[in-house]
Amino acid sequence: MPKIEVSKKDLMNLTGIKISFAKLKDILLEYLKADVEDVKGDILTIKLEDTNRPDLWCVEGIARALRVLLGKGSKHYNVKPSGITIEVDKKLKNIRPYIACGIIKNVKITDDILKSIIQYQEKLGGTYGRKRAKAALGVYDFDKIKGKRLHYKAAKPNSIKFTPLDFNEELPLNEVLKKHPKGIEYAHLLKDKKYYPVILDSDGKVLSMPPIINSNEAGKVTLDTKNLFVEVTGTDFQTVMNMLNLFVMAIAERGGKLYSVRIKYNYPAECGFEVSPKFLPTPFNIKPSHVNKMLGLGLTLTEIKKLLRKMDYKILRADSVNDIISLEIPFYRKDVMHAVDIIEDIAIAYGYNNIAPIEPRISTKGKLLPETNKHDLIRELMIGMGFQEVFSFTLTSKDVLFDKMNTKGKCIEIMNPMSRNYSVLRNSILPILMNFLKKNKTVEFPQKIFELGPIILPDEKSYNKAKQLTNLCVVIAHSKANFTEIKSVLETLMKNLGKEIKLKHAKHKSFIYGRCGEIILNGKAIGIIGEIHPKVLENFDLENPVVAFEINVDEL
Amino acid sequence: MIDVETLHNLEKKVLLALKELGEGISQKALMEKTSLGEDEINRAIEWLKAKGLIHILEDIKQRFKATELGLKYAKIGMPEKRFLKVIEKSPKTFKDVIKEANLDKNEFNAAIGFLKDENCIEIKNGLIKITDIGLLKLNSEWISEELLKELQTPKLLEEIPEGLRQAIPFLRERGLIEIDEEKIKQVYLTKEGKQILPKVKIEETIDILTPEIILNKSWKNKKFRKYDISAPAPPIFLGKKQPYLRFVDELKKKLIAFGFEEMKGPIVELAFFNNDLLFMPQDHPAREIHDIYFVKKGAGDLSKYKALLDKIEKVHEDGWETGSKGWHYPFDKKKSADIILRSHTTPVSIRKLLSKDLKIPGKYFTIDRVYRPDVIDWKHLTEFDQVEGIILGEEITFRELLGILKMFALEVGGVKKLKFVPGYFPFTEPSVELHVYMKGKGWIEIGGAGIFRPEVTLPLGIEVPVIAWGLGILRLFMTKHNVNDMRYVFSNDLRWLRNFRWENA
Repeated sequence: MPKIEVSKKDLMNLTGIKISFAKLKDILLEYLKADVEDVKGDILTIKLEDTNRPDLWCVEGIARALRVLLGKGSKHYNVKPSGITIEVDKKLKNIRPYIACGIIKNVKITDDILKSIIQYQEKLGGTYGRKRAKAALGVYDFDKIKGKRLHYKAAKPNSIKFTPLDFNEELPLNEVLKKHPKGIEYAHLLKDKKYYPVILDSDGKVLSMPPIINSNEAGKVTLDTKNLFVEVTGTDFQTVMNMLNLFVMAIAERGGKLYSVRIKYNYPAECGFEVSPKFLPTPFNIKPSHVNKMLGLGLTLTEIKKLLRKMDYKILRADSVNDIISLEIPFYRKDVMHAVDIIEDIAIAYGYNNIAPIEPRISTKGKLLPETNKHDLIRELMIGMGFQEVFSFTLTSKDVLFDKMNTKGKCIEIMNPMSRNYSVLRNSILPILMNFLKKNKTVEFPQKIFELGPIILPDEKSYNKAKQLTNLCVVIAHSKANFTEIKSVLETLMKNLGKEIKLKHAKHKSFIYGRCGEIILNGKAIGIIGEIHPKVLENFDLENPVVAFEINVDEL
Repeated sequence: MIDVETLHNLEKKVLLALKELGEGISQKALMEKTSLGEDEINRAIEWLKAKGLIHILEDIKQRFKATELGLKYAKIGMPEKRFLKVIEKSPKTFKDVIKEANLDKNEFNAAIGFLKDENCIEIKNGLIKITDIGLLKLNSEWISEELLKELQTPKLLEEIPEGLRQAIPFLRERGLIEIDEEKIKQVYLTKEGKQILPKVKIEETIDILTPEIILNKSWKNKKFRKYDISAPAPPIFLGKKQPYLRFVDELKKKLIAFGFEEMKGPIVELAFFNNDLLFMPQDHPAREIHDIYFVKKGAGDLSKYKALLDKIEKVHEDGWETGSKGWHYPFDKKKSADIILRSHTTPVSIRKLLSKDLKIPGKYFTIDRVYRPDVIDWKHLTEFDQVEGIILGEEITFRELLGILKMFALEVGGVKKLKFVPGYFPFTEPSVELHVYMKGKGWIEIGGAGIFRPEVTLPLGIEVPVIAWGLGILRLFMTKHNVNDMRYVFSNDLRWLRNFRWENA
């Protein structure tokens, strides 16, 4: 989820209402799914939980939401045509087909604005644009762009040269991907493409190479810049349009005048003109009865209307007889996909903590899974025999599972582990309990422990290539621990469960040969028992004899 | 004041012996006086000391004795003496000296070093010649050798003749003598010990009641020794449930009473169940490798769910028949088959909603393990448990969901303060987070909940509202039992497990 840094002073200025820090924190949390994570002087770090509300990922967006919530009403944004057209090369269809542009004139660029522009551009391209793959955004000094007919072209990788941002030499496009830091970072987005996208002005000068990097000349914004040109390119039309809308609207929050650009598409199926930015609200109907049924409230039409307005919805028509409210979703709320999204907004506006919780009124019969009852019985018997129950992680390392146990075997491996210690799923509990003993070397003996829990084995035949079993592992460690002692425990347990088991000599490298057996139930091996081999004890740094058994309780 | 009657006869015997022998008595003397064995004396001394009736001064006695090499030299003479002896008459070569004096390499080196330092020899043209000082030395008394002879049996310092003591440092340095230390306990009566002494008298009492005593009825004319019932007793390491698992057992009981049925699902899941069926877009940030563990070589088999997969593709792309607009991106069925470790317990609910034995209305729960690539700290682990639940039924609303969350916070987590915070999950709307106030930590998030979106329920054929929650049960355990670090729940610390106190059970 995105995190942004905002200046509290800047936020308050943009909002135009003074509120205390505590109140600000509450409003952010209770209405905007945003949490102040850190405060350093005037700078707040705000975490935005809603990965689907990019309109809130900038100080201007938060200020806009606060203004509406606090009753100052919503702002209207005027857009005038700029007379500029950008033509889209039809060869871009399968490369990066969509573009949207906008112009903001007379912006007074300050440090705050510059910081906000860079941060918002990053969050939009990174999270909303899925690391620039779906959409990415560029900002330019409008006064350095020549002419009224711009081009969004597909260019051969070595056909054109330009100077990328912060460089002082011209490079062909394919060199930019190899030499510029941003080129290296995002080269995968253009992998195997015959053409690369470029934006050219009327003079044929390269303004940028989306979604990689702007040119050093036109693509640089400084404190002296007065008029901005903004462009978004991407693979999804709606995302591209929305990203542009959100960005230019944010800058317009600080003043400046908005101008639109015409986009000429030449794709066979989508020929014609588009205009951006375009601030069109979406009409939508909801049923007041649906609202009340879902929330369990008895809100009147007037109440619902009031709550909707608090969240910046415009009411077109409300009719209780026909059970309908016609409304407009603000153009910046592309996250609204279904009536339920609007119902959540109504609940948030009402205040979650103002809704009285109730106990579920339906009556049903509860029950545990049969296996839970069996597991509980086994645990009870083990505790009765004086064993301490333990509870361990299922993630571990091959070192613990195999090397230290003096064995070889297969287990489920994680592709992206955070640490080697948690890189595979345990295929047995015994190594985990041996590790437990190691960590408790200095604790009083005898140590008698058990764990009942899942183990996971690789299984090529299964739909998920895994087989999950429940095992019981029992371990005894003290100076006189021996085979007879552990066998007594196993047999007592089995007798109480009404099972008759046999032991058969087995070779297992973790155990002493001749003192290790397979546990056989109805002719099937269900586990292993024995005295742990001194070599294994040494590997776990243990100085007392250890005896153990492990069985699959699913077989019992 | 100690009750004399609680004293064991062994203790009484020692006290009486002290009365006779006086202060500063050694164990040995006590053994002789009382005719008790060493074990008995030691036990009695420990008991009396614990009761504050005696105190003990420990004296360390050092005894010197010749080492193995020292014993050898005591017999055959010091190497340097043997060295001088063979050149007494005439100078000799190195080789001859070594041979005739029967020296090994170390002995030769030690001897020649010593003799040169003491100006006892001169070396010229490869010959070693004895000096006048050397002759004098050879014929005077060899104190070191004398001392070695003396120390063939261990001796205290004061037992060694005064004239020989000066050789001790030299011989220790050469590793020819060593020191044995012996601790000698001297027993003294304390003030209290002296006070009760007059009352101490030995009488025949029954110490441990045995079957013989019961059978031969000898208890009838004897007194039982009075026990000091406030004396400490040794701890018992009992068998018991792991504290967190006991908490889970209690929670399960509660949920059963509320009418919940237990459900279960696999740890190793397919992205289809963990994400796609939950309307989580395939390019959603929460599906990236830093948020989900992927299994190596992991492409699973979804052939059983072909029709559903087709439906879900449409739901993601344009909403299908759910009334939703969908996510507008090309759905990739290959990604649905990714094998992962489930990152939440919600796929267990999804599997239940898909199953043939689903009851409507119904209440279901599971408490099980989930995995996330998190950095471990006091409230984050890379694998942890969630308590997951769903209630489905025509009349179910958001208020019931808040009611369930409140029950978990107050009754399960035992907290005093809670609040509901709007949350965001791709699969629920409205979505809510439960936050509780934990003493010493402040507000912490317990988990998320909401009403399943139509994009989730309708493709599964469910047309009634489904409220769902997945809470961090470890955090509820922490608030309930004042455990301030989640790592303790998976504790490797046997002491912590043995000593866990159920103060709020």
